[in-house]
Amino acid sequence: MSGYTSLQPSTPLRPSSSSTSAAASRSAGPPPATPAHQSTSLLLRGSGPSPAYTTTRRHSLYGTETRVVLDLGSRIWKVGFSGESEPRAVLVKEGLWDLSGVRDEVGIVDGLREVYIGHLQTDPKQRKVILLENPLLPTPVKSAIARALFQNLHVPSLSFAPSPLLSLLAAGRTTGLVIDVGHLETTVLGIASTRPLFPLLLNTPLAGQALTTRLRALIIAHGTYLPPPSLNVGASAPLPTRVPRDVLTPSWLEEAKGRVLFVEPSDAPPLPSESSLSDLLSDLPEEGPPPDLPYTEETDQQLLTALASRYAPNSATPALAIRLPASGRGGHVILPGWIRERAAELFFASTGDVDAPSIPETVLHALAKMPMDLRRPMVDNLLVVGGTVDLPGFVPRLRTEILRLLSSSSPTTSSSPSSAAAPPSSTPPYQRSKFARLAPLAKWLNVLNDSDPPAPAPDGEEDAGGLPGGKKRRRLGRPERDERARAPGWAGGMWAWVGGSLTGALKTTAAEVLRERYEEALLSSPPSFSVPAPPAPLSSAPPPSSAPAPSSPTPDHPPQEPMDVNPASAEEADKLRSQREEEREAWGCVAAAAVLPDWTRGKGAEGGGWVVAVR
Amino acid sequence: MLLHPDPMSSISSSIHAHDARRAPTVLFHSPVYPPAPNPAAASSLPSFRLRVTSPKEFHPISALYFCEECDAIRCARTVTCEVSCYYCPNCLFEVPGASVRAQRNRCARNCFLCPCCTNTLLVHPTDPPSSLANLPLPSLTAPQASQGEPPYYLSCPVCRWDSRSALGLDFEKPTGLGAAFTKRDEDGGVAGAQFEQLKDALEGFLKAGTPAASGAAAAAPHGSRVTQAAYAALSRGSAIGHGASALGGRHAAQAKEDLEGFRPLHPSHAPAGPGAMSDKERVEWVRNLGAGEGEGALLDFESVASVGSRMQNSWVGSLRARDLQPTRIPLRTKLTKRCSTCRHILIKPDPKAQSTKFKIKLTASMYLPSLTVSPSPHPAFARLTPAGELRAGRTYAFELALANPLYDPIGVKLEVVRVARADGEAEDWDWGRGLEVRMGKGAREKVQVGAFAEVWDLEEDEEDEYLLDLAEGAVEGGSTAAAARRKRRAAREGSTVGVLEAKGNVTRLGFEVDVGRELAGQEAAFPLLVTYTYREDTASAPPSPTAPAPTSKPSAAAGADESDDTLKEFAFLTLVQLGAVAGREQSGGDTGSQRGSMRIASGSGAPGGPGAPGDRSSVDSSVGRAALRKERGVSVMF
Repeated sequence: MSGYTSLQPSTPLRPSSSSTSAAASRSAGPPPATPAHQSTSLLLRGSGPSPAYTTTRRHSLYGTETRVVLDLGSRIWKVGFSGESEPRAVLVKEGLWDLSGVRDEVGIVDGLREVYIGHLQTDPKQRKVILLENPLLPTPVKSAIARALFQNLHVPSLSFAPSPLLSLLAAGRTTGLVIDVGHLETTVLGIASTRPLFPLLLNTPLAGQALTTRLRALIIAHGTYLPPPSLNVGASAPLPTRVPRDVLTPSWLEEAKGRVLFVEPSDAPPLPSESSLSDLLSDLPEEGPPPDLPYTEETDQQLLTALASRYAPNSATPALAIRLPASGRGGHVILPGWIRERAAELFFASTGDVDAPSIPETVLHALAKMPMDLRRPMVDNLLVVGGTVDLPGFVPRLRTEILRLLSSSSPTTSSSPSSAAAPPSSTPPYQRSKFARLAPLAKWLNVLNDSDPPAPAPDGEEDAGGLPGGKKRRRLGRPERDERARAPGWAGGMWAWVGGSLTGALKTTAAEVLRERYEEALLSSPPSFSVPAPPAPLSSAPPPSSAPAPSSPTPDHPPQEPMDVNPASAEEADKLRSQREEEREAWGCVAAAAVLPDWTRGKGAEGGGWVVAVR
Repeated sequence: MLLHPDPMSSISSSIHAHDARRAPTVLFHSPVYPPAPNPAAASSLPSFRLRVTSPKEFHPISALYFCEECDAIRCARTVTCEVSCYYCPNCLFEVPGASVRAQRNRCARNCFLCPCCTNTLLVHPTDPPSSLANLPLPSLTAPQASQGEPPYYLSCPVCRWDSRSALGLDFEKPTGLGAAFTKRDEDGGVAGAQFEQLKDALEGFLKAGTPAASGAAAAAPHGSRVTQAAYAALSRGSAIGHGASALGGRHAAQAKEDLEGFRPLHPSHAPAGPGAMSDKERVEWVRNLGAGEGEGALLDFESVASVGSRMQNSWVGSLRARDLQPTRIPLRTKLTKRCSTCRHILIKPDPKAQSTKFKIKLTASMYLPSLTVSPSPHPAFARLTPAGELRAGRTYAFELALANPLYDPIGVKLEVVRVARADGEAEDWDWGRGLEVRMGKGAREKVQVGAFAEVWDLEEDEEDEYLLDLAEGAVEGGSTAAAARRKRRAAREGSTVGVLEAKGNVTRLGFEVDVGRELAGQEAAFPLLVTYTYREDTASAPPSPTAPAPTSKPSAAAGADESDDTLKEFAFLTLVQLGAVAGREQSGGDTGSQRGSMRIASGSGAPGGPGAPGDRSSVDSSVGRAALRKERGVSVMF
């Protein structure tokens, strides 16, 4: 790291004293520490840290260029310094926001303060921040995080970086399809030469939380509860019962999910009578949940019975009796083996639900949306990241399922290898399923971080005859196994953070929001108090959020209320004034939110897209 | 082991502790985003302080600071923190700032956390060989006999983990064990090596890409260097797509070599690191977790490393708990705290790790009257459930003790307000709903609280009587007859509303609360706006004379001994938490509450326990919540 600090006094370009004027330091820029960086850093004179920032620098433990990398997930926060290979702290922060918006803004402030004071133990005012964001992070959440960082912690600047791109960089690639299986949702985003193709992003709610819900439902339906033994002398051992709903705490479920679940390498062989889960579901009598209960997976006896009859007979996995936390009622829960191996089937099983396509389906849909010439580089560079991916067996199974979908959608390829070469257009369109166009891609399928890559195929399959471009194609065709791109074995949830640390160390940059700019936007308020709603952003872009944040950024009063109040007494007038101040501030917050980049609307720096630029 | 509480965790835990505690408490409000200092707003009535955005904005007074410059309460969220010293909580070694980073904010001496239970590990010597037992007595009693001998190992006194049996790890010397771990953490092991390789590769890619951009600048449609770089990357990408490398030339080839040919040092399919398993092995290992134990063996998942310990690493680690390594103890810090608005120092600790003193300490308890609520022992009121909960539909009496930390008497005005937030989707709170609080007339006017005096300055009963009279505003030229005084005191016996006692710097007030039936199963709490008037005296330091003036009032406040000093007012919002209200099913099964509910049904709207409710119904029944809201407009809907 010392190569990147600008602390060497012997560097000729370094201003000799801190009294050097702002103009001088701007013209000199942050001096390159090594000759290798001279050419690159000269390109960046104007965009270095602000002169005030460098001249008012106080004693600091870290190089001035070391940044704080924050990967704030909806459940797990990963925080640390750029240039380090491991985050300093990984924290569980639940319930602060969800996909609909901020649920606990004060919790965000507390969490970030805990990060800085308790874990990073550094002064937030001295360190620029790289904030990793999922492309679908709601704007109110982004706004609340920015507000906490700027207004409470006073960080000098904030760079928003799309986490799929950083994950890809941590794999050593710049082109690829990133499948991020997080807690709330799974997103699939293609990235071509460091440019995220945001309009082609797809997502599905099947992710970590869905697995927890499924696991809970399965345990309640098919598990057994062993109450703790009674302490009374002579009392007989308590009888096993069904699992009461209240003994399964969320933290216990998360632990069980992370410790005893795994993913079977392949789908269960079909039952003699039924061929698939959906068939089984349709054959069962329509019971439906009790009418007074809202639909959840726990009340869906039909689904739970179907899962058991599908998976339980073929399971050889031993059951486990797992202790419940003693802080609750204690006792043990017996977890049947088939739940351990099949709870994660919901990621791969196609249910036909258009709102929740399985992960392999989502991947193929995303591929189908790609431009033709990008499909092959994408399918050759799949990267599966996210905390849920750490389930043993997840990545190989996902590859198997994608291949299965591809081969089943094109019956000719599955029949014999030679007919695989036949152009897919020879099949009549009405016989092709939705992924038939993608079937030829199957032989290029390569998951970068596949922990169990398939053995190389025989050479004959390599010959992609019928494709135009003959020899060159073959040269660029599917390489041998050893030549195929591989990625390092970062832990599932850490890809994006490692990428953020890498970009911070390399001083590549994303759109940077300076605190001064943010505060300017915050202070700019409507000319008079009479415009309480709806707030309009500063730029000509559409409003950053159509959904109002439930917390303070929205005015807490309906806008017409101040008109109704007759300011008769001094107190009421005062109340009115404070209320209008609030509105003014709320407007400022929304205006400040307009400063933040919005990837999905092309409002990032430099007119859209996140580009790797050398600092 | 001496563990200084982490500043943030102590704050947050105190908040949560108050949520769970049954005993009544009073929490003080401090906004997360304090309003900017605005003289115009500050000169008016302090309703601007009532902007509550979250229930988490209420703190116990012990967790609050007071900024004299801003004349405002500050909490752990509205101070900025600077590290004044790093130290190890286990060995209390003060770590110099220079080595904090290299040691990754962890102790590099002998302090380790158990990987299984996160307790502190001890360094144990190996027992002497058993043949020593045959030695003569003098050698057994010699000091060497109890010292043990090398090699040394780490062991956990709680869960009996030890480094020798778990990891095969032992040491020749009992000290300096952290050095080996520090070395390992510094180069980062597998993750560190892979990270450096990636960094070099990306660096080469960027370097190759930048000159390519200048070479391709003629072809690039855009001018800025950022887009040039992007264009270079893009053109390289298209070179892959079309199989042509017309653009880029040597540089593109270089870039391709740098990144497209990237081969990771430790690819994901080749397990690396201690205890690494391939994916197949992981699946099989998890599958066979309880295999040898027989059907339904009572297992815990302790043989599997916990999710929390695994996710601290950026590299796919081992699943087995026995592969976990001890971690060095994270350092703690002592913090200098400043008001985040005006940079005024509020807390400055003694920078020595061993010291618990402060050089500067401006806590709210030095400026604000403290409020303590306790249930009244008066027999005429309802009792709590055995679980310590209130019963819905009953009337309770409480006592509120106001303690004055200032060296001058203060006048305190209490107003029950209502703070609600109805528009919140996720959290909907509405304090004061369902509670009818009767404070007595005196509370809305000024309750006098005597000056704080050192213990040796306290006088005897005479003083108390005087204060009591003072508190009721009944001092009439100091010529009150003793008989009248006794009569008043007798009248006060049995009273539960109004000033009960004034002694020293503490004045106790009684108030009654009707707990509404709709509160069953919820928390009973009501916001209380406290306005106190103090004499601004340049001789007595707190509160600051330089503060932007709150309302200066003419010295017509009731009962205070007036002087030439100006009186100042400071208002703050508190939340009085009375405790949980028993749920419906509990109170329904309770015969006592059934009797209570019958009484309510037949009574005149003044429910209560077995005492005579008549006097209470007459006491200030007009000061209901609705009346308060309507008459004085203090209810603020947020």
